[in-house]
Amino acid sequence: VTVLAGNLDYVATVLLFVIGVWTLIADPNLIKKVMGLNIMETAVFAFIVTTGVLDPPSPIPHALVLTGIVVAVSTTAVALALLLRVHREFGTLDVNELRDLW
Amino acid sequence: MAHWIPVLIAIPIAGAVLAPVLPHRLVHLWGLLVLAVTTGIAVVLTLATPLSYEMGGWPAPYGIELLFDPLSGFSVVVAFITLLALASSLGASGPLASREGVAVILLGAGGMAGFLVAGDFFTLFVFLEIFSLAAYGMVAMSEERGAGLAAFRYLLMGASASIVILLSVGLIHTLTGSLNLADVGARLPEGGLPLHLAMAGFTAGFLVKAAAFPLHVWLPDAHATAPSPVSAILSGLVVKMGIVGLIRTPTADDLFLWIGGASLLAGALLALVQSDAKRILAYSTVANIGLIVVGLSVEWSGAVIHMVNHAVAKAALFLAAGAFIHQAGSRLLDGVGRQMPLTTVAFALAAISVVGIPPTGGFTGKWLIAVGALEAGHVSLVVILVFSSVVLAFCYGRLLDRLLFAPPRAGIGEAPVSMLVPIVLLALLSVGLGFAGRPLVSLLGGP
Repeated sequence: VTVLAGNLDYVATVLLFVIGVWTLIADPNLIKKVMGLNIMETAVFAFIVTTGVLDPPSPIPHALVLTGIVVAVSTTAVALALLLRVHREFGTLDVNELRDLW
Repeated sequence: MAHWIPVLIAIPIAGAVLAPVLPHRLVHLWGLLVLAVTTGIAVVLTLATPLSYEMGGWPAPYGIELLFDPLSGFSVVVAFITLLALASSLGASGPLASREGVAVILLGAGGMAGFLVAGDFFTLFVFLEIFSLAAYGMVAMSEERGAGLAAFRYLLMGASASIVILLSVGLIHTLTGSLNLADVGARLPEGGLPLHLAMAGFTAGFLVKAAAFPLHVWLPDAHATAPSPVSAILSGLVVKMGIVGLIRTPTADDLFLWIGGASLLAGALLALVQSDAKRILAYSTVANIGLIVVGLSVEWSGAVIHMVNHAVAKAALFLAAGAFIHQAGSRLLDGVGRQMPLTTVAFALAAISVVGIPPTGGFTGKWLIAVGALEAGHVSLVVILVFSSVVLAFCYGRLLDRLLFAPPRAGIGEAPVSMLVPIVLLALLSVGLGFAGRPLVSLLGGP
């Protein structure tokens, strides 16, 4: 318990990551799957920033996360653009209604 | 010489940025010009390996290092196959002739070139994302119904894999305080949970990108619905980048035998139950990726040589399948072979190479890997290898049988010259590379 309490920030990132994975896998709505992906990304960014909290602080993790955020935004933009097309073709974003195609 | 390394990346990416603002009539030629120049630079760099370049003059462990080692020579294959794939749609009005299409294809080529020359973990990640995003876009170029969904599924799996890879990069930085590939290799601790987690992350992430068996589920839809020249790029080049990632990063390589063997077997058996030509080709890629992953574990040079040979032969097969579909006007290819003799002969040559019949290119890698597996005492693996080759030979044979001996269809002519030239060139190359086995091995850094 003391180990967990002493590394509360790491525990939080792991929890966040698990929430993201769960949303990505279990939620039938495709937009929420994209959100799950974003939560996973945020968890990894939080983890990497946390590894930079040293004495003296390391600037490299911050630089990595900054680039990572840009990449994540582009991925989300492409994902949402693809979903626009899916919705136009099938009229739904629900996995249960897309059935065989999913 | 080394300053040509950043130019190799900058030219296709700058070309991609400029493509959307060029006049519509010129954009296709622009794409071909950019890719031809890129191929030329890649050839010159390959002949001068090894090279390294420090971005902005900052020395290696702290600055960004680009390196051009024998494996980076794969960038020649990347640029050349992309060039031929784009050339095959010359004069056609499809999505590849559009400004967006050319931009996305150039971006993919630039991303892959950058990935191949990246000298540190983070540059590797950035270029991984650049060519991955381009690849999702390429799948969505298809006008076929459901292509958007296939691209989205590809994106979900690909982006999850990228996140896991980024997590591993973060772990590696925490463990070693460095991001430079060579520097990290020297500083890695002996073991411990964080290192194992990072190795598992790299392994899983790059196996998704390479589409090895349990993680291949995105591939058949994406590769079969994409426009055929794009399928050639995806199956020939983009999945190989996953293999390059596995070579560049610390991975759990004791798993490779199992995953590779499973992929080899599953890919061949799943190809057997398909009827659509492009789906058969897609599952054959899963099997061949399995072979390459096995090769990473038992015979490195065999794996790398098969990467090149499979890229060339599979690109020829997908382009030929695209030509059949284009001329027939549908996915139903029965009996079109006799009206398109040249395309059919090229298709058959490339199929023989993929199956691995001597003296073609595909045989060299398969032979090296089989001998390596035997020497390492994995007899069951050799049995799987031979069995899956026979199954794949049957799949391709059945496809050729349907092309040639089904009742011929009227009103179908040979493919236009712009399609025919890349197909025939790649098919001849896939056979010819079999005679260049030894120089190819030494060029790619083998013994």
